[in-house]
Amino acid sequence: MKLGIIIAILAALCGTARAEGPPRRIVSMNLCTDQYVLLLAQREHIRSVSFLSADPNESPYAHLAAGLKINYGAAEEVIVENPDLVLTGQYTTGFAKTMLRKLGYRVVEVESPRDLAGTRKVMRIMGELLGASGKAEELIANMDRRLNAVGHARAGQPHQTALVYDANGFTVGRPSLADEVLTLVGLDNRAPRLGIKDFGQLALEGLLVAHPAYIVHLEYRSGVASLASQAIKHPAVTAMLAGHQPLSIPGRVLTCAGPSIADAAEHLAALLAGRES
Amino acid sequence: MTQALPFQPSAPLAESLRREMNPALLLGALAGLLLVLIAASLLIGRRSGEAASLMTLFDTDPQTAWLILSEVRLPRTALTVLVGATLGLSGAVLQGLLRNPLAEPALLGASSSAALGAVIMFYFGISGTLAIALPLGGMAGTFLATALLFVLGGRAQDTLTLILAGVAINSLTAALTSLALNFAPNPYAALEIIFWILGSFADRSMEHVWLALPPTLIGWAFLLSAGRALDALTLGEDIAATLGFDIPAVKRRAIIGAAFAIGAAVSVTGVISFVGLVVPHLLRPLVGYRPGRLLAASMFGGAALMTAADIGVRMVDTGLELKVGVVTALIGAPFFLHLLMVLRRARA
Repeated sequence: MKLGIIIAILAALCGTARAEGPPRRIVSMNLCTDQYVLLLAQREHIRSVSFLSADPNESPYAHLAAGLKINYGAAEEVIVENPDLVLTGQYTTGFAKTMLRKLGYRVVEVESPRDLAGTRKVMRIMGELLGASGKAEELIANMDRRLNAVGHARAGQPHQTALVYDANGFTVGRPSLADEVLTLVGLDNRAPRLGIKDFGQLALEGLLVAHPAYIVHLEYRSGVASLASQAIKHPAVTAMLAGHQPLSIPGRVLTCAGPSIADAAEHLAALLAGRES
Repeated sequence: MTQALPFQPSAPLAESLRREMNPALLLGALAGLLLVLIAASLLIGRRSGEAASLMTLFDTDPQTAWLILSEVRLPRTALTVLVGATLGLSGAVLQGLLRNPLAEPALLGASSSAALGAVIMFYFGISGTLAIALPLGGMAGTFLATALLFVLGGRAQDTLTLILAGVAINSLTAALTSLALNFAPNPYAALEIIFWILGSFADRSMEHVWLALPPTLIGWAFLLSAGRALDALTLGEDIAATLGFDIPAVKRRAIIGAAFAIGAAVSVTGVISFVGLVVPHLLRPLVGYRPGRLLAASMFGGAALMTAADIGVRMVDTGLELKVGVVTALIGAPFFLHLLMVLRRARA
């Protein structure tokens, strides 16, 4: 529903964009809008992307952001670029967003879709907005081809239970991109049965009682210590998995709704195949 | 003997003696209470948690039930006992040694400086390669803060000077902890400041217990050794010295003891305030206002209060588990204010 509204707004904006030609001075202030810009827009039209996109821990497209100017989500960093399009996410940089709108900049807020169908839609709309519809269709077709291949390869494998268990005990329910990836590779996500909707927290004891066959871990800066990333190393979790490691895939490929979902699916399918053989 | 205490309630001696309990009976009662609370802590899960009823789980899935009991609830409960006893004991020793009713490890900055030391060890990867670095960092922090405190307020009889020194140390170390967390390479670190300033026993493992246990025991031995000197100190430092007590040596032992025990506690559970303040005060009448006898009682009392507070945390149905420091502060802060008013009345 919400996605529909955002899409309507975007569609209206696209109308004006088409009249003036594609934007030529794009500033993106959010990791997820960055990926669309990096994948779809022409490099010379990108004025700046968010600092997160320059970090390979955060973004699968850091190599595309290398050499581009970065911003930290402050209004003045945007204003000096005199952009004709500012892309933001829903939740971050709220004050900057309000100020830029007040100053008359064209600010487009992009919602993060929670499923594959929504991802395709948003990619299409972003393609139109950035004057790269053909490229967007190409990316979508390629992503779908890879996802189909994974689904095909995994078809017929026995369904095993799984839970995503992430930093601070966050887990993922339905609808969510991670849930679709789990289902695609033939895992039965237990979180919806524990009353968790798109995402929520699961206490350590709740995880133990649910007793999934696999734990899927969205790895994030595992090399540097935090209490958040310690939970999955708890001896009780190790005992529950009978000494097996959690299935660890890089979290950055599932942070945003985009073609990297296919990376997540391929990675997870390969890990599972390794365990089964 | 009791008249020498500047913070003693103005109740007549007879009344205080009437409330005094037989020492063995008191310790027995406190130990009994602690045992009941330990059993409750092992059996009670989070209200919102799926494992709320461990007994039912023993019927349906005994393996998981045993896992929860041995790897989740046991270390958690062991730490509430260890840390509670440490805080109760250090509160009693600091109050006796400084002859100051408001002395308490958290208020005086001993705990927050331990957190600073532990944070540096933890987030900058040192404890990742060498686990013992975590409590060592905590101990170094407490040692520096407590030593500084005794230099600043050791000879001052003035309650205010000491508390203000503690406040200064507290805010400085809290600011430095925040700074360290913001510089930490993991972005989650900045959000985890709430653990370090409010404390939690959630999802701690036996590894944390084994890490904290040896320094805690060493710390207790040092702190308990101050007991007899504390009794003499109620007569004043000079008289205690003429009675043959080496007061500077007692202070050194207390600093070392606090560093070991509080440093170890804070490095695995974060800063938990007010336990060290409340427990000695509640028990003082029951030991006839004898600071030496207060020590063992405060250990049991602290362990019991901490275990109860941690059970309380689990009873509140919140998404993110409440930090235990929230509960102890809700009990302790009004108590602190009450104490301040009693002190003011005693001076007037």
